[in-house]
Amino acid sequence: MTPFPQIIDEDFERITAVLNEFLSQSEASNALIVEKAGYLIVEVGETPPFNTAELATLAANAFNATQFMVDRLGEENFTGMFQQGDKTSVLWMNIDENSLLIVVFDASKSLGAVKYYAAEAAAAVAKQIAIAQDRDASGGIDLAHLDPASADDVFKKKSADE
Amino acid sequence: MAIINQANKEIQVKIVYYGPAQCGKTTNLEKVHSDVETANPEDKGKMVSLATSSDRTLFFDFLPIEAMSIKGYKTKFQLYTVPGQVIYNTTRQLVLRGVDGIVFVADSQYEKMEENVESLANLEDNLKTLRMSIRDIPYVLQYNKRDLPNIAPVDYMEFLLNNREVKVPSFEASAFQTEGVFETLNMITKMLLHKFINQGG
Repeated sequence: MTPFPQIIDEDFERITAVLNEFLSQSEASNALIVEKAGYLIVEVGETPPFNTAELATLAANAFNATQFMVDRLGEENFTGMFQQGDKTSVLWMNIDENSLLIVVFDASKSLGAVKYYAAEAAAAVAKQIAIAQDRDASGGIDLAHLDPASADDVFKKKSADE
Repeated sequence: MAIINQANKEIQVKIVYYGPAQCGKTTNLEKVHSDVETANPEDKGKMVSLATSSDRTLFFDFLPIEAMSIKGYKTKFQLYTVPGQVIYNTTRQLVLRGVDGIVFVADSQYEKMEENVESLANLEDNLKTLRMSIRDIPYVLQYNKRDLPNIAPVDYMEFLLNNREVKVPSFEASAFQTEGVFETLNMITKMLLHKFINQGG
């Protein structure tokens, strides 16, 4: 499996522009690009009343769980998933082997329109990720000068009186 | 695999706590969540537990936590546990997706040795299914529940669980008393950061 590529400013700006356009077309409130291991990569939309990193993790794992059904059903892949709420609905759209588009929208909005525009947005994001993938070989951050000692005790326990 | 987001200046890393049922994986995360010192309250996310009504992990526990910056990059750690119960193997495979580092939590009680060995073998099998090898992934062992009376000597646990050419670091712990919890987490973190240094990101 090819790992998710490093994202640079150019990718971030392009993906953000695609998602903003998608939100204005579909009238959805939030769009997230999530790596399937549960990492939130890009988020666009209204200030949400939920923690987007948490939603990204739950959404990625929920989608991955359904992929176990793919083999049993003799399918190649599931391209999406949908959950209808009373007030808010969520659409999952597969982008590529590593990433997903998660869309949060008002339950009164048309699912058909959201799905239609989401498919276009997912294809555009996939294209940009492919560009990042091609560039990735020369990418990377130089950590050569990082002092390994600085990696000691990254996490500290609070003292008893705190 | 860790995600390096140069646009957001973020490195995201996934650590999975693995081990047999009721060995203390969730307790490790709970203690990290309650006792970790953070500069900003927002560095520590909320712990999410998808558990059964009897508090057994059904899907996973998840704790996002932010550590120091490396060369201007925020390092975000995602700590997960897997359900230990044998029947949830598919779920364990699911949670292992994209794992960067593993903490294997073993239960030190004598009667749990067989389950420890089976769980470690199950981890190796599940990694193979995901086309990964335990030899390529940084991992540490934690011998938990050292506060209980009927525990096996550490040498015996080393023989059972760490009997290989290159031994991995192991820690005695009583997660319930927050002993050994931070030592274990810091070691796997250090191993991961060293791996990034060696691989140049």
